[in-house]
Order: sequence, then C-alpha cells, then structure tokens
Amino acid sequence: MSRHNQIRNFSIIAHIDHGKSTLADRLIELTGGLSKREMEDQVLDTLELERERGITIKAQSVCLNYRARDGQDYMLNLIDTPGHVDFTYEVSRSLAACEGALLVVDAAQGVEAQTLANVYLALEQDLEILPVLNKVDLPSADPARVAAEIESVVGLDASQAVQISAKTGFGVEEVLEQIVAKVPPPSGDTAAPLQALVYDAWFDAYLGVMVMVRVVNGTVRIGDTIRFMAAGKAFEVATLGKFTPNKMEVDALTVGEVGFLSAAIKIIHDAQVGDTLTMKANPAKAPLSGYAPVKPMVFSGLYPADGEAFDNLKSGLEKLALNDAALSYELESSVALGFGFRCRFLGLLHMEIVQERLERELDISLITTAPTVVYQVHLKNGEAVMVENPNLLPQATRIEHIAEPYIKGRIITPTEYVGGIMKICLDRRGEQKGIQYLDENRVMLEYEFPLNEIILDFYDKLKSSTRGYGSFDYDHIGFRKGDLVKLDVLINGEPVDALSLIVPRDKAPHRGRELVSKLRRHIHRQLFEVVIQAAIGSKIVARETVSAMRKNVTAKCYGGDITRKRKLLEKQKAGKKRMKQIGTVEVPQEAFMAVLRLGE
Amino acid sequence: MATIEALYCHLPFCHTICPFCAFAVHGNRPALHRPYLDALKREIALRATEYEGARQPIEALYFGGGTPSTLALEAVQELLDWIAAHYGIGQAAEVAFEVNPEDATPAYLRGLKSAGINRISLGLQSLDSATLAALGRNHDAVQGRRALEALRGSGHENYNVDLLYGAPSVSERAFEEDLEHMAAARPPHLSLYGLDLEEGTLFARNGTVREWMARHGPRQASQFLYASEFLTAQGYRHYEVSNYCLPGREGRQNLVVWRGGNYLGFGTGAHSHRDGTRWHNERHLRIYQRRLEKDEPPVAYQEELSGQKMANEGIMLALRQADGLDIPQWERRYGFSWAEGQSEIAERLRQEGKAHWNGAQLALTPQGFLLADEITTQLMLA
Repeated sequence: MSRHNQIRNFSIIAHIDHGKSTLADRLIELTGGLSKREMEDQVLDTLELERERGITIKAQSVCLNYRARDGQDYMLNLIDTPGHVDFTYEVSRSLAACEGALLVVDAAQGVEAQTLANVYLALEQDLEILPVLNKVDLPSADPARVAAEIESVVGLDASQAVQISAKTGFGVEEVLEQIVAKVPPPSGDTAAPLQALVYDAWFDAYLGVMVMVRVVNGTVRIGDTIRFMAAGKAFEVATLGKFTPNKMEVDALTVGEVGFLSAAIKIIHDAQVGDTLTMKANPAKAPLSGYAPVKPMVFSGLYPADGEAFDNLKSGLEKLALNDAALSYELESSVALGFGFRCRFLGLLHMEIVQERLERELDISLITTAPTVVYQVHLKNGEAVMVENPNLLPQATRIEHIAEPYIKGRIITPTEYVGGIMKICLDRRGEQKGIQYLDENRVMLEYEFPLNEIILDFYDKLKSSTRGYGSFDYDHIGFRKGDLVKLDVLINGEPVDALSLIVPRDKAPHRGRELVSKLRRHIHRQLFEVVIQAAIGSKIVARETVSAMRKNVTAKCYGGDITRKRKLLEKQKAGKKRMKQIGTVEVPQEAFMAVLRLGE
Repeated sequence: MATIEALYCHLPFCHTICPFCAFAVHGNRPALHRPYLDALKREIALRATEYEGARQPIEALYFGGGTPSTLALEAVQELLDWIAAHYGIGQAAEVAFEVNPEDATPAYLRGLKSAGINRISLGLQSLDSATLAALGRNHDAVQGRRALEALRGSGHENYNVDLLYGAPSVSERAFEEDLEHMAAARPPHLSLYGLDLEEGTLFARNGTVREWMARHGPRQASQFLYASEFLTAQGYRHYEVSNYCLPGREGRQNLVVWRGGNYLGFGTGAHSHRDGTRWHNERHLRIYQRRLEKDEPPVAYQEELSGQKMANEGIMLALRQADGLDIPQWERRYGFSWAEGQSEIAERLRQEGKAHWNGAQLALTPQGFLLADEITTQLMLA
C-alpha cells in the first residue's frame, strides 16, 4: 500500500461570511500547523486587499498533519478556493485538485446562491461533499431547518451533517474525523508518467513564478525537466515544497500530494491555471481534462487622469500582470483621454481589484471608462468580429446584427423581496426561467440576462433591495442576437469617444437622457456655455446645457497685495490641470465615472 | 534699478474693527501711536538708504489703513515731513489719505489740506442705515451724510468715496439709492466693492452671514452690472473692476500697482514691489516695532518672481483694467509669445460681448470684468 492512502485532499465551499476562513483557522490550530502566537486571524487570506474585503482572490493551500482516532497519521491538504463568481474557472481547477469538499452553511442563514454555484462545480468534479452546519452557537441558528434545506435545494443527504461553531471550536474535531473517514484517498499510479494539475500560480520576486500543483500520476523531483503541456514550455525544477502553513521544502512530490514548485519561470502566462505538468523526457500521453484558456468577460479603458503618469501606469500594469494571469491589456488611445490601456477582466470585482491595486501601489488617479462586455458583431459580408470597445464598432451600415453574451442567474432571497427583485430583473432585460420555494421564507429565482445588464451594479441593487439578504450567482450561456446601437456623447458638438456605450435600441433614448443629465451635474459652470448631447448616429436623443459662469472675480485688488491674488489664480489654474480638457471644456474625472452609475 | 514711483504708508489703528475687513488692523489707543510712528519713521529711513534709486520724484503717496484719520494732524504733518526729507516727492504728486466719516470734520479735512494732502478717500460704505448697521460700522447714515457734505465743502477737489454693496440682509434697493446719492454728489472717484467673505474675518466665521452670502451672493453680479451701466450714463469711467472716475481722476497710487510699477509700502502688513521682487511686512504691531528697534527690515515674506509669474501678473492686472492688455507690449516686456489658443479664447469673449479684441488689444467689458479671475486663469501661462 503506497503512502497516498493516508492523504486527503479537500476544499471548503461556503458563502461569504458563512465562516470558511474561521473554520480553516481552527483546522490549522487543531492540527498544530501553527502555534497560538503565529495564528493570525484568517491566515489563508494573504493579500492585504483580500483581508480588507474579507474575500479570497488567490487560492492558497495548507498541508495538515492529523493523527486520527484510528491511531493513524494522515496528511490533510486543504485547498482554498477563491470566493467570487469572477473566478469560477479558478475555483473549478482548485476543486479538480481535491477528492472532497466541506459544504459549510450558516445554520442561521441557510443556503445561498453562491454556495449552490460552487456545489454544482464540486459535483461536476465528482467530489465527496460533507455538509457542515456552522454557527450553531447563535441563538438564531436552526440546524434542522437548514439541514432540510440542504437536502431539498442541493439534493445532498444532510443527516450526517456535523454541527459546529468555527468561532468557539465546537465540533471541529468531528469535521477532521469525517474528512478522514469519508473523503476518498487519491488514486493514481506512481510509476506512470508525471501528470500534475496546475491550480494556482503567482509571481515571487526572488524565485520567479510559483506554481501550486496536485500530482495525479508519477512523481516530480528537484532537478527534473518539466513541461507545461498547454503552454508548451519546459523548465528545470528548482524548489518543491508544502505550506504547513509555513513554507517547508521537500525533495519530491508524488501521487496525491499537493505542493508548490518553482523553476525559474519568468512569465506567469507560461504557467497557466488548469495546465498539466509532465516530464519533458517521458511525457504523459495526454493532459488532464478541463483546461480552458482565460476568458475575460469585462473590458474597460484605464487612463491616467494626468497624462504624465502614463509611464507609471504602464509599469504598474506590467507588474500586476506578472502576478495575475487573468489580466491582459493593450495600448489604446482616446481623443478625450489621451493614451491609456484597454484592459480585460474576468468580471467587475476583478476590475475593481486591479484598479484599486494600481491606485494604491502607484499613487496615481485613474479614469476608468464604463465597463463593457464583448460583442459578437456579424457583418453583412458574412464575417463576425469580436468588439470589446464601443468605439471600434463597425459602421452601422456594415452590420447585419450584433450578438451579446448572456448568463443564467440564480437569486436566493427572503420571499418578501421577490416583487422588488422581479422589477429589477425586468429593468435589466431579465427573462424569468424558474421560481422555487426553498422553504416558507426563502425562494430561488432563475433568470436569463444579457451579461451587460449585470456587470455594473446589479449585485449592489440586489443587495440593497433585499437588505443584504439576497444572494446571486450566474453561469455564462453564450451569445444571443440583440437589437443594439451605439450611443455617443457630444460636448459642444464634439463626440467624446471615452463616453460611448452600446445599448439596446429601445432603451437608448432613456439612457441618453440619463447620461446627459448625470454629466450636466458633474460639469461645473465655465467661462462659456457647454452643450451636452447624446446621439445615435446623427440623431440627437438628449440635450442639456450648462450655462456660462456668471461671476468669478474678487472685488479687491488694492493695498498692493498682488502676491496673494496671483497665488490664488495659480491655484485655480492648477485645479484645471487635473481635469480633462475637451475642446475648451473642463471635464472633471468624476464625469467619466458618471456613466457607471446610470439608473440611480 | 528702476525708479520707485509710489509710496504707501499703513496706519493700522481703527476705532472699531469691521467684521468684513482682512487688513492688518489694531484697536485704536492713542498711547500706541508714538511707538508706531517711531517705528514707521525708522522703516522709511531704512528703505531710503537701502534704495539710492528712490531719490527720484515720487508721483503718488498714499496713507491707508486701518484708519489713518485716527492720527492727530500733527502726527500727519510729522510723517509727511519725514517722508519728504528722505524721498523726493514730485511737485505734481498725488498725496492721498483715507478718512472715516466719524473723523471727517471740516477742521480735520482743512488741516489735512494745509499739511499737503491733496486727495481724500472717504470710507463712507453706504448712506443707508440698514446697510451700515449690517456692516457693523460705527457711523450712521446721518454722520455719513454730514461727512460727505464736509468733504464737498472742504476745498478738496480730488476725492474718492468707498461704497460697499451686498451686505447681509440688506435689500438691493439700498445700493441703488446709494448710487443715486452719488450721482447727485458727483465725487471725482468712486470705489464700489461687492462684499467678499475674506478668510480670518468675523463675517467669514459667522454661519448666518455665510449662509446669507451663499444664497444671495449671485445677485452681486446683477448689482455690479447695474452700477456699471448707471455710473457710465452719469459720465463716469469704469476703469477698473471696482473703480470709477470722472475724466482724468484715476487713482494714481493704484495705477502704479496695477501697471506692475515699483512701490514701497511702510507699516504693518504693507506690500512692496521692486523689479520683480515682492515682499510684505510683519502684520503684528509689536513684532513690527521690535524688528525696527533693531534696525532690521520688518519683512515677513519675500519672493523673487520668475519671468512666467511676472508675465501672469501682467495678464491678471491688465485684465482688471478697462485699458486692458496690450499684447505686443506684454510680449516685449516679459519675453513670452501670445499663443493661438489664447487668441481663440479672446475671440470667443469678443463674440459674447465680454471683451473688446482686435488681435492686439484685449480689454474686458463690464460683463467680462465679472469673470476676470476665470478669464485670467484661462489665459495664464502654465
């Protein structure tokens, strides 16, 4: 019997705030992975930003040594998963590295949409799913009701569900016992050619790209020349190791084991999540299944507010992309905003994270153009082009039709908010596909939407209209034909490319009016009148005027105090420099953001 | 070194401190006068030796405040003699003196005239009781009228009246009446100031006033235009944003300042300019005096202007005057060239009636004066 019988690879599936990180901390503590002193709250979330937002962006892993009640020592590998829909693909790869998963559900709140989505992913990977009811110490906890909900909604047997309080540690040891007893040990052939799944990668300033792998077949040792099967590049293994959660180097990783690897890999795109590692000399016949290249869903222009910060932004993006294989970008120029980058993101959260990191790490202020989805534009000559920037839309006369990406969304909410949600969904061109009562208080709605309608603020809207109780998740379901047009904004007759949007034709006049009135509120009075218009082609659909400034003069310029006055005007002048100049019109940064907040 | 063209003398004492005033002022106590006058005289002498070039005829001398009329006539005479002993005052020089209505007795005004003062500036502010009360002035409308009468009968041909409009809680009509009074009295020079909330003043700290100003501030624009139209019809020349005069009666002291000339200012907080160097004095009375006791220049701040800053000042000051900006002259004087973009703005201003523009001269109209700061920032070199 090989040693992989003693290994259990598992991950934790939970809705945000249902206690995943706390449970992970308790597991580490209980198995002695860290001393009390080393325990920092939520050790798995290493990035500062992750900790602030309370979410996990990059997957982390930790190897726990546990002596079970049967007297045997087990190696339990906890493989963490990112907790957001933007990172669904990364989640699926992390799950693919496991044989089991803990389904942690808050015993007071019940199953949420995001939990469901990840459970479905786990079921696709054929994982053994162990329900865990957390927060049973809360007065509002109702384990019986939530167990019944798991059975009816998820379709899992919840009769053996462990009742725990990750906060107090109650029941946590029982979780470890269930992992040992119920999660199957990895199967695999140590003699077969190496096959290892890459489920995470990041950039380390000293070692180059670090890769997290799960060995499925064979063994990898220091000094081996390995090859990434999809990317095609070969490297010599420099270090191997595990996180316990402290970094511990090892000489080899074999069947069923999980660990990190470095091999002087300089570019993160050479080590993509989902790729299969094999030996260069004795390669596996085929890669592991399930690899898919990164598929960006949201696109936006990033520009420095001050043109002089361009080089700074460029090097900042290069640095970020080293660590973020999902981020890609290319040079873009806008008449209104100058030079910047068109960036591709997995989703809106991913976009916000990138933006925040850039602003924080580079100390520059950014102008983000309205995020857009990718459109499939079918031309009259039979060609189809993908358009990720409204300004690159071919001329209307050449277009046969435009198709846009759709999603299938699941919303779980207390029943009293159903009416409000239906209205929001209808406004967002949602089509109801199903409604299921989970119990007498909670309901699950299924809708199909154009992705474009939800990338902006749908989730915020949903949260606020359900007092925070509603949850939402979605899957992509492909492109569908739509009746879409390009909406342009003109300031004093000049089109402002950075403000163009692609919108449904029947909504265009309304959106135009909204946009123009938003802009009017952001563009302050200036020396000359400013006319703001929205247009579809040459047809003006909305118009507003910012009347000219009436008075800006200080009465007094006597007593010979010229310095103070000049300084005051120099300050005013410097203030203008921070705004974007469109013709003679000064447009503040916020105006470009205004388009992001239509419909408020 | 270029000639010193004007001198300014600051007398900081006031009977009461006005809630809107941001100048260097001090409550009036006669015991403070002597030490201050001594310090002032030291500074006057100190600067005279420092600037040999100053021994050229000075064309304007101005006593401002504060309230210069808190001084006894003997003190005025003493200062004038001292200045004349250290600087050459031109034969035709304008010697101006600010007087508050409560001090404007026939005797005081006559005394000033025989001491050599040839221009009076009367801090009238208004002839409307409500306005005066709102401004916290310690003279009332009757005293104001009496002061104006005394001034007209004093033999001073050249004088200015200060009016302030936009006082909190006061109707627009009060200002129109003030203007009608002026049309009847026909002072040779009028300064009209819309009330501004200046940092550090009592008004600026008063929430009620701030709120009133925020709500009614915009109506100052129409009051400004009304005054301009009204006084122009009365034969006045609106020659600077806040100043009007009958032909030939421009305030010469101010013209020196506004044309970028050289001037020396003496006294607390006084400002000076010489060949691109600007400085101002300590505002605090005791500190000012202590510095001079040690024969130190009482300078609190000094800056050497870069060519660009001087050129920007040139634009800023010229656009506040009806004579406007002479582009070729500006280019010669500061060594910058006027850009295409600047002309485009000028042309647009002309089309909208905010400026006269012929490609070489840019002069704002009253509508343009209202936007002088904004226009300046658009035209300034960055």
